Amino acid sequence: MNLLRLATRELRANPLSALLAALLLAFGIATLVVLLLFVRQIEGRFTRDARGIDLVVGAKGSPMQLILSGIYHLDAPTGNIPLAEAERLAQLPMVGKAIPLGLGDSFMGFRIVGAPIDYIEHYEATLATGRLYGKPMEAVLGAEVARTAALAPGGSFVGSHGIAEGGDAHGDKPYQIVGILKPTGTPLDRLVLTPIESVWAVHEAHGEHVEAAEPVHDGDHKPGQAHEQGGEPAREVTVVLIQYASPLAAVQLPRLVNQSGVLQAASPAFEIARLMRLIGVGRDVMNAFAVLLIAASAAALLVALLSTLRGRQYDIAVMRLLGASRAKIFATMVIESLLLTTLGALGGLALGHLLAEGLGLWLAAEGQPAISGRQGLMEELWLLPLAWLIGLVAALLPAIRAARTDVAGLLAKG
Amino acid sequence: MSPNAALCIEDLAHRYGERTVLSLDRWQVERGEAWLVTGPSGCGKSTLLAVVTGLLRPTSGSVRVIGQNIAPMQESRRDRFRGQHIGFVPQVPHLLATLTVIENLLLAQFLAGVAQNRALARSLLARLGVADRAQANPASLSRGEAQRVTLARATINRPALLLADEPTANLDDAACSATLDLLRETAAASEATLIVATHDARVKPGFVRQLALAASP
Repeated sequence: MNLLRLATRELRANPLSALLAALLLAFGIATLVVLLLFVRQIEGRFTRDARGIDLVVGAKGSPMQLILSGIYHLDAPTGNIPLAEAERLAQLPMVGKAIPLGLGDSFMGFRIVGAPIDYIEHYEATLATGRLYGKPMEAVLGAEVARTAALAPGGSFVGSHGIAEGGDAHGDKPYQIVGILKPTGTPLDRLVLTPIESVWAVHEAHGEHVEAAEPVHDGDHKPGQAHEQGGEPAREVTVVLIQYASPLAAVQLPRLVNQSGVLQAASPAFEIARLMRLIGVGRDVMNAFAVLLIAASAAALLVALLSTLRGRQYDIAVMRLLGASRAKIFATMVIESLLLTTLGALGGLALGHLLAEGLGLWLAAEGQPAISGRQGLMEELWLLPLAWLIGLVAALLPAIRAARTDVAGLLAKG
Repeated sequence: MSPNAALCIEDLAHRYGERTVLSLDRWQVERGEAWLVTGPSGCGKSTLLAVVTGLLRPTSGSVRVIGQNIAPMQESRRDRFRGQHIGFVPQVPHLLATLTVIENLLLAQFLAGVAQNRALARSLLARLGVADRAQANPASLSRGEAQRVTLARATINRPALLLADEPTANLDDAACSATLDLLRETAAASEATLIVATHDARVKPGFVRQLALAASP
């Protein structure tokens, strides 16, 4: 016999209202866990995907859009820039590595990206099967594309115009699949990679240049914006991913790029920080909701413990008669409360991870970057002491009342 | 004062405000004796029991239990002392419903701060004829069984004093005398000094030593 056992038995005898309080706490904690997992994983993913990329250069527009489309392939591109401009940029001594990308078409909703092999190497991706592309109209599929489309090297497919599903098919120019990448956990998983010349070739066949500046859901062809120079279409790229040669470039290069008429430079680090601040507002609202749930659980716990007191007066009297001090009576109540909140917190942690995993799978099906519930964070460890604090605070009043039980008076009444 | 006294009370008074609810000049109980405390309702029987168990600190006077004055002790020390040296049988047998019968006995050892001894608990239940109910839920016990278990629990730590508060209230004559016999036997077996507080006239003939408390004015 000990206090822990006594408290467990007591909880088992009156489980309903106590479990309700624990459940509320579990919901509150689960909300916090989901938020924590989402924010940390999105932040971590955004940072990881942008590693080694100091600057993204593309057409003028929203810098956030440029980053989202250029690095993460989430938003619509801002437009195209002349290849000549991109090449001039790559020659600058401040530029260490420059990776030009050509966007505009898609296959089954996955973006077809014209890119040099450097791009694949940048993310340290390796082949699962086949080989890397060597000439135009050869394609390497990201792991998720290959899985979804059930295609293997040797197969072929045609891209459709626009970066969303439902664009016109470029039926006359099929791509040959030569390789499939292993899963990398980077944007490459969801991309179809091909030499940038393929992108040019597909659109030359259509008598137009690479058209990327369309909204995501707009499959219509628009007339070209500029660069219709005679019959020869101008070569264009959509973005150039740049790694600085030296830290000094961070000061000079963005200014230099932005001074030019058509180009815009955006810093991933800066834009990610801005994005996280924007997400932060939503997160704060959810946080407030979680705090509300946790406060409600504390109130429910208080009521649950208080309501058991009346029925336990004689138990408390007997314990005192058997030698229990007031402190021990107090402790029994607190231990009960702590047991409940520990249960609630552990349940909440499990529920939170389950929810995050479920939401992650749903998001992945929707084509968003995947979130996993199968990883833990150090911050989550704080939730347990938080639950204990709540258990302690909620138990304080009932425990004091229990300790003050008038045993002599109770016995006199018989 | 005999050093052998199980209980020795001197100049005891307890007041609530101006009202004196208990006043006792001197009462000495030797070890092994059996005493009856009688008196009408409101005479201070309950208060006396609360003072002797150390639940209540008297306004004045000394209360020596096996030689130790518990009146001036700190409350937590009185609690510990009560757990180890005083057994109490309340009017209505009350067992913790969340524990089994034998766990109720182990609880008494735990709360008194002595080693928990399951074998001792079992032998005590056997002596009181309720060995087969050791794992039972208290709610399933008859009143008689519950009373026996309560007695076992009150005496498991071999207390110097065994106090019983109105043990025969609401009992028929047969049950009344059976209960008194059980109290005497149990007290004798655990070498405890028995003190029974009652206003039940049927009990009086059975006790040689009686303390009659008068109703306070």
